This record gives sequence, C-alpha cells and structure tokens, in this order.
Amino acid sequence: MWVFVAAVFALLYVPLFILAAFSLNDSIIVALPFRGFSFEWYSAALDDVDVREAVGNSLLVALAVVPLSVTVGTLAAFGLTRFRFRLKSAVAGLVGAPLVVSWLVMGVGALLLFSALSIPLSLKTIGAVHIMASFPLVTAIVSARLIRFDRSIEEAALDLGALPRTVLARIVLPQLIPSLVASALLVFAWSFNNFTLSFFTAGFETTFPIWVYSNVEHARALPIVNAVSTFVLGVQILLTFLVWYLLRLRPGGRSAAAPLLPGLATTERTDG
Amino acid sequence: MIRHSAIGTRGSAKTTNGDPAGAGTDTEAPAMSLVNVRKVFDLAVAVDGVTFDIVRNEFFSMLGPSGCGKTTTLRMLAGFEEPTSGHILIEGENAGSFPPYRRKTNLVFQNYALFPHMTVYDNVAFGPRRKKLRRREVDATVREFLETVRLDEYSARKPRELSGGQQQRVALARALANRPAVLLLDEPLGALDLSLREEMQFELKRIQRETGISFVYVTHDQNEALTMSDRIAVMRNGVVEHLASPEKIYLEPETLFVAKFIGQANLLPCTVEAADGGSFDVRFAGGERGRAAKASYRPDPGTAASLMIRPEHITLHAAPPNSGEGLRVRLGQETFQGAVVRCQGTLGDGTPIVMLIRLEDRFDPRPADDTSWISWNPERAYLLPAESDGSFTDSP
Amino acid sequence: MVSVAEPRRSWRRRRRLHGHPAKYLVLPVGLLLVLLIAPMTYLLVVSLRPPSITGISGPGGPTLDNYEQVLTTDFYRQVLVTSAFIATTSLVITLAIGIGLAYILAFRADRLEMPLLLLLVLADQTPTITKVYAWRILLGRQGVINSGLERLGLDDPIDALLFSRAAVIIVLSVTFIPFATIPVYAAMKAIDLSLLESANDLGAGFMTRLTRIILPLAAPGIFIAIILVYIPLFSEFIAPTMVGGTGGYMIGSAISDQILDNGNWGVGTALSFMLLLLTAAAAALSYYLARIKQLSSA
Repeated sequence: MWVFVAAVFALLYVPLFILAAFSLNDSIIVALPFRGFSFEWYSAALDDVDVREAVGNSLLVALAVVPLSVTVGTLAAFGLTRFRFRLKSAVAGLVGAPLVVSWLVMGVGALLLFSALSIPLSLKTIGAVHIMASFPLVTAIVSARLIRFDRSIEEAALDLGALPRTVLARIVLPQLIPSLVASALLVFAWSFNNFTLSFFTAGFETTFPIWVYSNVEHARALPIVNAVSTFVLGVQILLTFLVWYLLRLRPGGRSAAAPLLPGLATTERTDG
Repeated sequence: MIRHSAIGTRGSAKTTNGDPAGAGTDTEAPAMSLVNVRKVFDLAVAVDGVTFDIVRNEFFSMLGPSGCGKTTTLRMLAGFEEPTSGHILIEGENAGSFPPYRRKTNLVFQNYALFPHMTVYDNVAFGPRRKKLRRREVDATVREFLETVRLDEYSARKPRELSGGQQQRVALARALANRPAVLLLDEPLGALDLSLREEMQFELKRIQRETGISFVYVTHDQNEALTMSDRIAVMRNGVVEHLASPEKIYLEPETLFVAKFIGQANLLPCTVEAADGGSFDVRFAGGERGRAAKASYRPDPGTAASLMIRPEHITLHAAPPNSGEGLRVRLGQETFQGAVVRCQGTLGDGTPIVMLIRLEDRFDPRPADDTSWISWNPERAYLLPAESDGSFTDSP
Repeated sequence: MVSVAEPRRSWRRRRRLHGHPAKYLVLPVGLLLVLLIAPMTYLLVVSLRPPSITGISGPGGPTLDNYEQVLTTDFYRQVLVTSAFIATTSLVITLAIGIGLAYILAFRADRLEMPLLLLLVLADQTPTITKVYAWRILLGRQGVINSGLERLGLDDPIDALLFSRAAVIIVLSVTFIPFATIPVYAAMKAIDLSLLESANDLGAGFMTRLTRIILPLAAPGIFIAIILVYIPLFSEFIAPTMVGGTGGYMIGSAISDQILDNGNWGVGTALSFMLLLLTAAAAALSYYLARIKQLSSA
C-alpha cells in the first residue's frame, strides 16, 4: 500500500525535483550527467530582460486580478446564498459555467470577440478574462462557508441593535476571513499559472507561462527556463504552505483549514 | 401578581387596546400587546389570530407542541418575521414593521448564537456599543450583567472555551445588557442536561425578579413552564387554547387538549345529570354517580361530558365508600416512584385510569381479586366536554 | 393569489434587511454576459458563416458547412478519434490511481492523511506548463530516462518516449491525479465508519466491503471526478502541443492551429462549439447526478 502511495507521489513530484536539479546544473545542455553545482542560470535569468518582463507581467496581472476577482466572487456568493428570486438557478448556472467550460473555448471566443470589436489585446484584456474565469472559484469557496454560516448569529446581532451593514462588517466578514484568504491565494496562483486564457488574449504581451511555452523549443534558453520555473515553483509552494499553516494555527482554525483543502483542489482545473 | 384581563383566545378576541396604531410610549401600557396577530407561510397558517398582553415584570410562557406557532409568534415579537395581519405593540407603541434592531426586545436563541470570534466580554458589550454608549458605561453594563449571570471571571474567554451552561448564561447576559422592555427566550434550556436545566430554571426566575424585565419564554416542556411562569399561554394549531396562571391551567384547563397536554389527566366519560348552582352531578356508564365542583363550559343535563381528575387527587378504598359516590376499579401494574406509587387500573367500562398514591396509603398486600374502589374530592374534579372520536382534533 | 403572495413576506423582510439581490449580482452577471456569453454567442455566429478560401468567411447566410467539413474530413475525424482515445485512456488510468489513493487517504493514512492531502493540493497549485515541461526533460531524446538507459548499456534512445500518444497519456494521467482523487476522497470521507465496522462484524472481507459498501457509497464522488477530469482532458491543449507530436494531436491543438496559424475561423469555431456542446451535456449530467445524491464536489 505504501509502495503505491510513494509511487504516486513520486510521479507527481520527481519530475519537478529533476527540473530543480537541472536548474543548478553547470551545463548548457539539459541532460545527464550532472556537471556540477552552479547558480549561473539564476543570475542569467535575473539579467534576462524577457524573463523579468514576463514574470513582472504575470505578477502585475495576478495582483490586479486578485482583489477584483475576490470582490466580484464574494458579491456573487452573497447574492446566491442569501436571497431567493425567480432567476436564481439560471444565475447560479451562469456563475458556475466558467468552472466547466474549457479555457481553450473561452480563450478563442474572447479572442474573436475582441478582434471583432477592434479591442487591442493587452495585459488589460488578459486581466479582464482572468477575473471573469476565476471569480466563480471565489464564489464556490465563499458560498460553501456562507451556507454553513449559522444564521441565528446574524439575527442575534440584528436583535442587539446592529444595523445590517454593521452585522456585515463585525459579524460576517470577520468569520469569512479564512475563506477570503484562501480564495485570494488560489486566485493569485491561478492567474499567475494560467496559460491557455492568457495565450489567446495576450496579443504581443508575454506572461510567465507564455514565455516558458515559447522558449521550450530553444535549447539555449532551457537552463534559464529551468531556473525561473524552479524559482516560481518554490515561491508558490512556500506561499501555499504558509497560508495553510497560518490558517491552521489560528485558534479553532484547524477545523477551518481542513475543508479548504479539498475545496482548493476541486474547484481548480488543470487544463491550462 | 397575575392579571387576567385582555385574554383573548381562539382568534375571536376583540381589540382590547383601543386604537392599535396609537402613537407614543405609554408608561402605563403593557410591556407588549398582540392584537389579532396572524402569520401565514406558503399555504400553512402558522399563527391564526392571537391576542394577549404581556404585563410589566411578568414571566410569561408560550407552551405547546412543536408546530403550534409559539416560535413563529416569538420571532414576530423579535421582528424577524412580519405579521401577515394584526398588530404588535411594544410599551404601547406599534412595532409591527420595525426591524429587529429598532425594537426594545432582545432574544435569547435556542442555540445561544454567540459570536464565535469575540470574547465573552465583547459578546456582552455588543449591544451597548451599538447604542454608542461611552466606554465607561459599556464597561459598567457588561460587568453588571456578567455578575448577574455569575460569569464575571470568564470575560476574556471565547465562547468555545465555555461549557454549554456557561454559554447559555453569556447569551442571557448579552440580551439583558441591552436593557430590553421584554426579553424573549426561545427554548433556551433545550440543549442542557437535566440537572443543569433545573438549576437554570431557578436562575432564570431569579434573574427575572432581580431585573424586573418581562420575560417571554417559549418551551414545549410543561414542567419548565409550570415551574417558572406567572402566566402561561398554551398554544395549538396557531391559536391560544388557554391563557392563565399555572395553577389555573393545571386545575381548571379550558379545553381537553390543555387538560391532556399539561400533566396527566384521567378523563372519565360520563353523562351530566344535573347542573345546579355550584356543582355538577354526573352518572357513569355503570350507573355510579359522581360530582364535580367546576366545569370549563356550561353543561346541559342529559349530555355527555368528561370528568377530569388528576392522578394525585384520587383516593383508593378497599370497600365501596360510604357516600355511594365511588367507582369500582381493577388494579393493574404498580410503579414505585419514591414518595408516591403510580398505579394503573381499569374502570368497569374499560376506561384506563392512573393514580398516584402516597406510599403509606398503598394496599399491602393487594386485594385478592385486585378489585378496589376510588373516590375524589369534588372540589378537585372538573367537567370538560365529551371527547369526540379523535380527542386531539377538536380545533375551533 | 394568496398562496403566491404570502411566502414572499419573510423574504421581503430579508430583502429589507440585506438589500435587493441585484445589488450583489449585477457586477458578476454583467461580467459573465460580456466576457462569456457574448464571446460564446459570437463563436456560434462565426461557426455558422459559410467557409471561404481566405478562411474568415464567405458570402451567404447561416450554414452548417463548417460542421460538415469537420465531420467528413478524414483529418478532423482522426483528430476527434485521437482526442477521444487519449482522453478516455487517461481518464481510466487517472481514475484507477485516484480511487486507490482516495481509499488510502480516507481510511488508512491516519496521521499522514492531512500531510498527504496537502502534498496533493500543492502538486495541483503548480503551473501546468511547468509540470508538462518537467516531463519533457524526463522523457526527451536526451532526457533523463533515455540517458539513464544509455548508461545501462542500451545505446539506442527510445524515440517513442517523447512526441507520442503514450507521452501525452502519461503526462495527462499524472497531472490529473489530484483532480480525480479529491472528489472521491470527499465522498469516502463521508461514509459512516460504523457501516464498515458492522460489515466487518457480519463477516465481510476486504473485497466485499470495498465492492458492496465503499464503492457504491462513493459513487457520486466518482461520477463527479469523471466529469471534472473528462471535460478538461478532451480539450487539453498544452500537453498535446508540448509532448504530443503528430501521434498525440488533439482537438485543442487543432483549434489553436486553425484559429491562430491558419486563420481558418470557420473550422476552428465549429470545433470549439462542438467542445462547448460536449461540456454542456456533461455539465447537465453532473448537475443531474449531483442532485440525485446531495453530495457536492467541494
């Protein structure tokens, strides 16, 4: 049994470790045997204007997408969990659609529409499409929390004289914080990592995944690809782990963090 | 002190408060008045025209089985539901459409509904802070009510670090700290274990007396209601069946439902013989006679009726009592209950009967053929209408 | 009349307390109408235009010619068959691994449960492009596996490792493992342990417990996993392009090539819309199944 578990996790992680190992290999050829230990590809990556621009663009887009996506997604979660209205299931289906529709199809559609309307492709178009496609993840996470929310706690606050907006600020939002933090982290990684949507809506702009994609055929660039990829990988894993750890250590957070784990992964997709 | 005025039942009551929309707080007005309040959900009528007053400094209970409309009534008092029709007045002021945060009522929730992310202190301070009181006033209020519920040493704890009983007290202090005109309590003791529940009943009564605030207490537990209340409204199917003091409800229930729901009642089928002045003569199926001093209605001679006798008001005899007023009973199972023995028996016409006999009055040994006679003090017997086939369906 | 008007009352009260739902929903719905519904509609419109030599569109009214071309041309039929084969094979492999892993995580892992779950999520939080690229290093002609084999004395590198159908299947099966595992894990976690204990007590062995209790009760989770994995697999684009070669050419690559390189919008949009229909069908099915068993994937 443990052999099976070890094998599965080896399949998931060994390629990444090998990638990391090659990023430290003192050779321009990404192949065995190892020639020695070197940080030269990291410094080469730092000096590379294209790399700096691509990673910078990805960061910029992700940092702009996170607050907007979390806001829109939370609004949708409130609208869908707190009210009953005639078109509710239609709206819920619409909000869920970006979670199932292929990114490729969404990207192609956006590209055609932008070009038909003569909207120039830029980081802004990438960001807009990222917000549209990622806020339903936030809605999923936040609604899951809102549904489990004890309504009588809000009623108690109203009953004690709090105005509805005070209830929101003092009672609801403080309890949503773990979900909002998890959503923000998820959307950040999602936006930074997304290739397919960016690829179709980027025009002449480059993001980190697009840069990797366009350089895998250039043998001379591969060591730099290794270095940058390893760096990005490391930062993301550390960040995820950190947030998970922080949520876990909050008093009572253990139970708050546990359901977030499956929540994080089931709402995410791997097709791009 | 008990007030019996303005008791409307069965949705037929008239408006007792004059102009229900009368403006302004009236210091003489009842703490709360309900005037013909109705609430309809989907197709179901949850509350079907309820009218009563809650006077100041009173412990008032709404008692009934689940689905009787007591919780819906409470939620309308708190402002979480709007009456479909009718009026709710708080201290004489029409509050029908006021949202919860504009009402002088506070609610103690069944599940306590404490704010999990706040300390005990902050929970209790939540209401006073909303009123924009000065820090010192908030602090004084919080300390006062934490002391009232005897939790002054726990102010820095979070709710999850407290036991169920302690959480209950925090919820109480939090609601009281807003100094409501009426404190509403929604089955607040349901989640506690028996001994804690009895202790809290005592506490609630004490706190109600100390603070002088009217309590409206919703429960399905008749013991709770009988123990604590000044007055009880027994509800069923959205209407108040009987509103009176606990003694009155227990001894002189207005309907068969109330008789059966509160305590145990032996309901003996009989025929009314005579209804003169102060008492009623009845005849049982076997020809025996009996008497009751009071009745819930005006029985006509010759009609069928039910004679209610509480199990503890029955006396057992080894031989037919001299008065000639007695019924033959075949004794069944006995259960020892400490101070009393609970005896089951069957009357001649097959009616089952339950008796609570003091230990020293018990037959020991039992009569050879299990036969004995029962009698009762007519002052403790009470006449109710005859049970129709489904005794629980005699709704108005 | 009354029956329609009355139930709204308490909701109207809620609306007075929290505001109208439109206040919350106007922004999200507007965003989706502009950036999802409008493009999808335009996609359909373009796909129905008559084909032309220049690729964009010819003269004439709406026609199904583009769809006909996709379904009758050998090349596109081959692409559809390849896509279905790769997606189905990868689904079976990843699901088999996922169910096994979910079982171990849910019932056997004890203290390792949370750490392993975290590792699974972390593996999912990494850029897909990086994962696929890492597999390229492993599988390439000069890659780690081939050089390893070379050292063992095998002189001829195995070309088939990269740029093949097998490569796409391996990469896809592995990258989708977290996806397939977590819904099944969630469903298994919801199983009352006393059911398994009583089955054990009644003399059921491991296989009986697995086939008679665990799998039937986890079935909704397995269905959700299938839908979550199968749709993205079908429209996979990165792995076929980066490790697929001609043998692993899938719909996604075809759409991208037609739209971006050949400017053949007709066929590209027709393929896209067919993918969209497939998605809609799968989503409807999953919605139906999720309603049957009130088990949510998240």
